[in-house]
Amino acid sequence: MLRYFLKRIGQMIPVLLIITLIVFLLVNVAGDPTANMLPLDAPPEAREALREAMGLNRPLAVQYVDYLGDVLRGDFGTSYRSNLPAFELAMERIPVSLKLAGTALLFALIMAIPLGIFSAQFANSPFDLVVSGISVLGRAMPNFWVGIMLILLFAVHLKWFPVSGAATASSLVLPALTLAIQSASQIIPLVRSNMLSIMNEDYIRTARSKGLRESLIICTHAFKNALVPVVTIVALELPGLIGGALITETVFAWPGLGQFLIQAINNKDMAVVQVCIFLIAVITLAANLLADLVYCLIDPRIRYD
Amino acid sequence: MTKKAMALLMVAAMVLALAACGGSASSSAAPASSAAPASSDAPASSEAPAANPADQFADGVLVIGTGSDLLSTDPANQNQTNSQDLFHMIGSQMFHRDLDFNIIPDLCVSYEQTDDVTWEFKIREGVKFNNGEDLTAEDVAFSYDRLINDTALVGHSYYTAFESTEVVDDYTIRVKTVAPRPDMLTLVSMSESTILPKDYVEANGIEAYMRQPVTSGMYQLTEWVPDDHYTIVPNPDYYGENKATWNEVVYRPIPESSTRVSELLTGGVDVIYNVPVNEWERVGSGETHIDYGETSRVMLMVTRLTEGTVTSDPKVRQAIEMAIDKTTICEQLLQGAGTPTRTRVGSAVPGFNTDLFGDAADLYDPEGAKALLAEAGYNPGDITVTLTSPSGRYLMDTEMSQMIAAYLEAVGIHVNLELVDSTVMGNMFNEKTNKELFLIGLSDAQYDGCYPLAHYGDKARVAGQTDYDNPKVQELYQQALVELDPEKKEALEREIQAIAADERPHICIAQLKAAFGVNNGLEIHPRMDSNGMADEITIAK
Repeated sequence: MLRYFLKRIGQMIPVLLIITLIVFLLVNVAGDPTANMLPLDAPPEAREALREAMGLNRPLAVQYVDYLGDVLRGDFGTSYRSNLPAFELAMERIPVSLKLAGTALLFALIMAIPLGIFSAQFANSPFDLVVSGISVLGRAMPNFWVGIMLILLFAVHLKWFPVSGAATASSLVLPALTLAIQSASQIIPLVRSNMLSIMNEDYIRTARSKGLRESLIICTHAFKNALVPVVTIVALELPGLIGGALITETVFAWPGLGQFLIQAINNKDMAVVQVCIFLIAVITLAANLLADLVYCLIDPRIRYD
Repeated sequence: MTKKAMALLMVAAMVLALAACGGSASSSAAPASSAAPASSDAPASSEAPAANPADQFADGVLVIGTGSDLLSTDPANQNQTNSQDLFHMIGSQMFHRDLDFNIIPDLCVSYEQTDDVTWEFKIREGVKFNNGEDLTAEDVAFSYDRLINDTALVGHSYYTAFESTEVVDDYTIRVKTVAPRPDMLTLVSMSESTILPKDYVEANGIEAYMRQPVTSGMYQLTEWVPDDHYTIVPNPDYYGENKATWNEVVYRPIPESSTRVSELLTGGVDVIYNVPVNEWERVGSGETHIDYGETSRVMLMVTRLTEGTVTSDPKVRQAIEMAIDKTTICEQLLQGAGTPTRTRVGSAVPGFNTDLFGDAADLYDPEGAKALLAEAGYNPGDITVTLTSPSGRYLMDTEMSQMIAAYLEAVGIHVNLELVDSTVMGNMFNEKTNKELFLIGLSDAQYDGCYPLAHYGDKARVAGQTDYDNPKVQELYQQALVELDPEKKEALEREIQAIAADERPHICIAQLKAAFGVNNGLEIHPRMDSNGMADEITIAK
């Protein structure tokens, strides 16, 4: 197991290197980074002087090698906006995004697991059809629209929650719900289908024939086994919620990594863009590894060499 | 009850408790360390609305919702209205602009131009930075030298005009310019020229300054939580005669415009800038209203005069302008948030040509346009132009380009409409890969007539973009650049605008207005150069 863990850690390194190269190229070929720094009609010589001062006139390969060397020494560059290390700035925002992502995942599981279980138990009933419909709707609705609608209903009309920001604990509810709706929509059908297949297994039939209550059978015997594929989705959802909540964080002015990345892209703050994507890649790879390790805990039949 | 059910119930209870904690929208994101109460909390549903909306501002706390966060707390390394506004409020410059856009003394008590390229400024005595250090001519020289010498600073591009500084005594400084600069007072009033504390920056580095700016202006920055809020409070040692209007001003960056509007409507913020057109009706009712102010941003089409392009024919360019109903664009599409114009120069900028603004700027005559095209030898459908436009960067830019395309089609000019992202637009403009017509909104960073007229007077500047080449205009421009008599300078600038309006390297459409969403307890006196200066907002009488 330890060998497997170390092997996976080793595999992450070339993946991360490739990601740094791709991001570096994309940031540099997407246009002149100085375009947004100066007024649109600044004299060309001013723009050229700034490019020279920032080292942007060097060959791309030279810039990348320098950048890579710095990264290997732990230096991801400096945000031109604040003149502070980009890595530190991005790390400050990860707990904020984790708070949102964790809450969203919790909401998603609270919604999805009971609905999935009951849908399976009452399969093909009107309840099941409604839940399936809601699940499809949840996947179809763009989350920026969901967010704006939740703001209009719960913040503007009902005044139950703040509109935006991260000032209070209740500020977390609407953005987390926005993210949770989409996540839950993916988890519900998975729970449902897993429960349906497990409820037809021999050991479940044995438990029923022993006279056990249905609720006990579901909670004690069926649910744990149905959970295994759900763990995959949940583990993959977490990095998606952290790095993919760009739109939701923007709609709710949530000061997390996503909004930070959007601002950096708009301001062509290259160092910040690169480090944010790097961190999202690390979180994604780590989440995948964690999912594999949790498998072993849940299902003793699963072992890695 | 099983353990799992208990756990689920506890989680559900926690979520409900969070919901119960929500209540009305909280305006200020001020942290525990700030003693000032949050302003204008939306009243709970059980409370009666305030009898006088101005009463809610009795505590002197103002919350402004902005579209973006501060770009930088280095005044010399930013080019963004939020950051510029901040340093106008917390920093000291030689001069300031008042609400009527006049340049008035700030730090400077007197000045003298000793020769064409040398200016001597005397500054106030007894001014202190908020860390207790005295502000002297050494600090001024340090700040200006940094702008002159550090080419990596964004602000450096404006101060290539400066050659050197000389400290005469503790409160006197001489600045030499490369060439005569009639815009000198403008240059030393810009936020980029904010005076930095020399000793502090040399001892601690600019990074320390950026973490907590050491300033000497009317307000001081007490906190910046990036992407969440920044707060300014009055400087108790401020030297100026005018005192701060507000006890605390909190800026909350809220990028999404519908969210910003929702915050205004629920009392989460008191003022918002750049209200989108589709929200005007919502904001203009209930406890809020819309106010408008002029900007220097002109929506215009950059027109290619390159030999061989169809728009190199002056009759075609004239026909294009005559085909466009600018009044309808301003009144119907922009709903009054625009004024027809034929000049690139903003209406509050010295040197503005009033003959090219308002009703006189609308040459709409589709039949005349058709006749002109026929005179030029073109039948309907003979001409095809590409109109490139940004999408979502300026007020109703997509819709404006669609209207323009329709107007041109109506007179027989076929249009390929190309909508591009903001970043692509910027690259296209800088790399000069624009085609026949390129819709863009240009503003004036310096509020000096010569700044926008570089597009007409500097041949090298526009080579490959418009390829406009009029030796007379170039000569007038060079004269205006160094003309120290303001009246003569403005006369030259007006003449350049008149010629350019007839020759059309730019076909100007409309000068945009800014729309502000304002709580009914407040009044706003919009500044052309601002996006949230505290002194333009007062409590309603």
